[in-house]
Amino acid sequence: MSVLEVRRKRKVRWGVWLPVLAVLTLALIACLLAIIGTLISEEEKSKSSGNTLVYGLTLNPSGIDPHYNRSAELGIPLYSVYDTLIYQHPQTREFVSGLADHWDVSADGLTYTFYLKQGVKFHDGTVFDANAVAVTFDRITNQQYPDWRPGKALDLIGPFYNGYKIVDDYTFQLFLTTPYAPLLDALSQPYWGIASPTALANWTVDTYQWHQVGTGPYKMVEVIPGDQIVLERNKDYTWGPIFYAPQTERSIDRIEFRFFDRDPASRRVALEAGDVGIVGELPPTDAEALLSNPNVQIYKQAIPGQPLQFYFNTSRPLVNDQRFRQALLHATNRATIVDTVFFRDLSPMAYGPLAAISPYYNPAVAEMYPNNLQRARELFEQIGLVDSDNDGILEFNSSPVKLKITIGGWGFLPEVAALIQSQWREIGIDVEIEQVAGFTALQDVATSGDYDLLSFEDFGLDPNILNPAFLSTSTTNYTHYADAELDGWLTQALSADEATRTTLYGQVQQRIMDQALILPIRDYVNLVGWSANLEGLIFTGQGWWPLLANLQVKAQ
Amino acid sequence: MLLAPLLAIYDPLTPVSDHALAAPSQQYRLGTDLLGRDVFSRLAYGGQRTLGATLIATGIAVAGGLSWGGMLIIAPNPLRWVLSILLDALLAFPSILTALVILTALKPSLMTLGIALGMAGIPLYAQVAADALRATLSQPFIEGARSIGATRWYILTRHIIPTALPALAAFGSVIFSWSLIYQAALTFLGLGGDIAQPDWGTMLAQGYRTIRETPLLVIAPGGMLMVCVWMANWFADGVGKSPSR
Repeated sequence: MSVLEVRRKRKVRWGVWLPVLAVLTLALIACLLAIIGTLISEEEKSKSSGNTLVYGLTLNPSGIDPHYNRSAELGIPLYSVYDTLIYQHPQTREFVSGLADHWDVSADGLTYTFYLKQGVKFHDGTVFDANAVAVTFDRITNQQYPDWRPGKALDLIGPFYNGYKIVDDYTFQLFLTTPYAPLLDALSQPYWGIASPTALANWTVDTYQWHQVGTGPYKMVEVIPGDQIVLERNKDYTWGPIFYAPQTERSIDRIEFRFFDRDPASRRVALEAGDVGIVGELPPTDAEALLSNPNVQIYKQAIPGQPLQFYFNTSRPLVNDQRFRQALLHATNRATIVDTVFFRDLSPMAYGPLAAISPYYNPAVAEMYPNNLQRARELFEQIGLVDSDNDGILEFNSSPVKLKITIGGWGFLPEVAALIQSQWREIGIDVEIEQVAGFTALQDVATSGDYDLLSFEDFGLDPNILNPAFLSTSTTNYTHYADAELDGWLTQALSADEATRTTLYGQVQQRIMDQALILPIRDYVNLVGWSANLEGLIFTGQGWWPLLANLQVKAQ
Repeated sequence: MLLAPLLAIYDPLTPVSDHALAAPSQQYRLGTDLLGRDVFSRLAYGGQRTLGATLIATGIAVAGGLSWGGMLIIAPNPLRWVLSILLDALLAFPSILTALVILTALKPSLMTLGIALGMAGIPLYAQVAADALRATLSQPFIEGARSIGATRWYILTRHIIPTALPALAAFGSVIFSWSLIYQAALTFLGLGGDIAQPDWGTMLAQGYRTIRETPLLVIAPGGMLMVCVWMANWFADGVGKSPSR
């Protein structure tokens, strides 16, 4: 009986295993076929697509909807997916025609009339007209729009926006309650790209970002969040602004954006290996090393806006004393910091709240705080800081001075802070450096106010980026400094004419530095590495966004 | 590493040379880093801080784990049951995650990092301690000792501790190398408080930026970490194998 049982068991086993084996074999074959299929189709894809470029992004934004998200990084692909009503010429900084052929402004500065181009088509075939402009305006500014949210675009158009009117199919009017000088600058940024009303209706507010449709020189063909964004050339594109080069055989047909955000050191390696055609924000040591590589070019793109800087928190004891802040500026040797960390030939020193390349920069701030330890000591003495216990650290009201600097871990801030710490210790000021885990954590500290110095900055061509940072009523005034006169100048400058703005923002910069509200270190320069096979790399006035339409493969 | 102030010639925080990333020389024995600070001095002071934090972590894990493990053996039943369920629940979390959570709640510094890692290590050690003690208690010679009327104290000092000690010491040293590695990993990520202060993880992170120009900046702290972990494991192997009665 036992023998019989064993035999039966064996039979049953085969009965179970055979189908399993068969299924496994089939699955294996299917997998192999699938892999081979993918390989073949990828090969075909790369063969058929003509000139292909891999573009490295250095930040992975939480979303890439231009109307709702805030990251400057999203403009790198999207500047070329959309057209804006007007453009700002990258070199002359004049406003030139975009989707609006021309425009006029009423005498009181409250009505802007845009005369739109005809014959423009979105990538999905939808005809561009005043209605399309209105839909984009609704999406950004109208709180009744389904799932509306406030974005960078809304901030840009300013506090005085007062609605629009469709005059006829190709005439669009925009109204303000008070003249607003930065309006055209705002409308020329990719956050105000005009989107296809058909596509906006097809997708939800959350999913549109992966299926964007504009009128620009490149179409979005594929987005895999966190992995890649793929653009293909729009061969019907003829309505571009004056600074777009005409399309040729050597234009780039397909651009794949991939992320090099986690590890800055990988950018140089990818460039050298040819895995990426263009990638920005190279660490300075890597950019220096690449200068001697014949296959790679280095493009130094200065970024207008605020420099790498630290806000002094004037609501803290001792830091609230103007003389103390001035003494710290005198005690800082910027030249050493820039030379050590950024290399002076790659990045200029900063002196004030605006980078030297910014419009409205006031050069008078440059010589205000030379590195002068003698002067710093005199100021410390005036305030009553003494080293009574001879431990090398000054005391204020008989407790040793210890300042807290809060920084993010990016952009060589840890190195900069460490140098400031060692420079200030030498003159008797102890410093504690707090590095936070990410951007959100930095904002949390900024809101809590638990810092003496905090590193934060914003970029842009228009000096109105100073308003949120220094208006006493602003929630993002990290200096906590309140000055009615400064508030007046900042507010007035929003609506003033060019000459008055120059005067006002000149005074603003002077006051910020008189009061020593910030510790500026260096002007931002984006070190872009790009393949020697390419030509025509050029960025918009804001510095971050490339004109992809002008890129070409070099003639053989 | 207690000798750091004697070994180190230079202040580990202050740039000593205008020449950043200098090669090793008579003057700077391991060269200088990106900011021109003496690498040898930073390595010495960094070792003091790194190993100090690791010892804090090990101490907390061993003390906490031993008491927990002991409680699992001797506590009255409802409490023992609760402790054992709790231990299983904590063991279900990756300990690095536990450490991160504790670290986020505390203010990041090297001290709190040591405490967080120590607390994260407690359940690991408790599990092993309980097993080792239980195994010892069930040995026949313990029952024998008890049956011939040995006092509890005598059994504890002459039998239980000597028998369980090799296993407890070996796993203590495993906990040491475990917390050393994670301590370095977390400071590498900038979670060790003041990032200007030297410690091996921070030095690794900073050296990594220039790894191709000056690999020594990574090799030096990385090598020290490796040697320390290897020594701890070698010690664990040694004591673990030592003859037990």
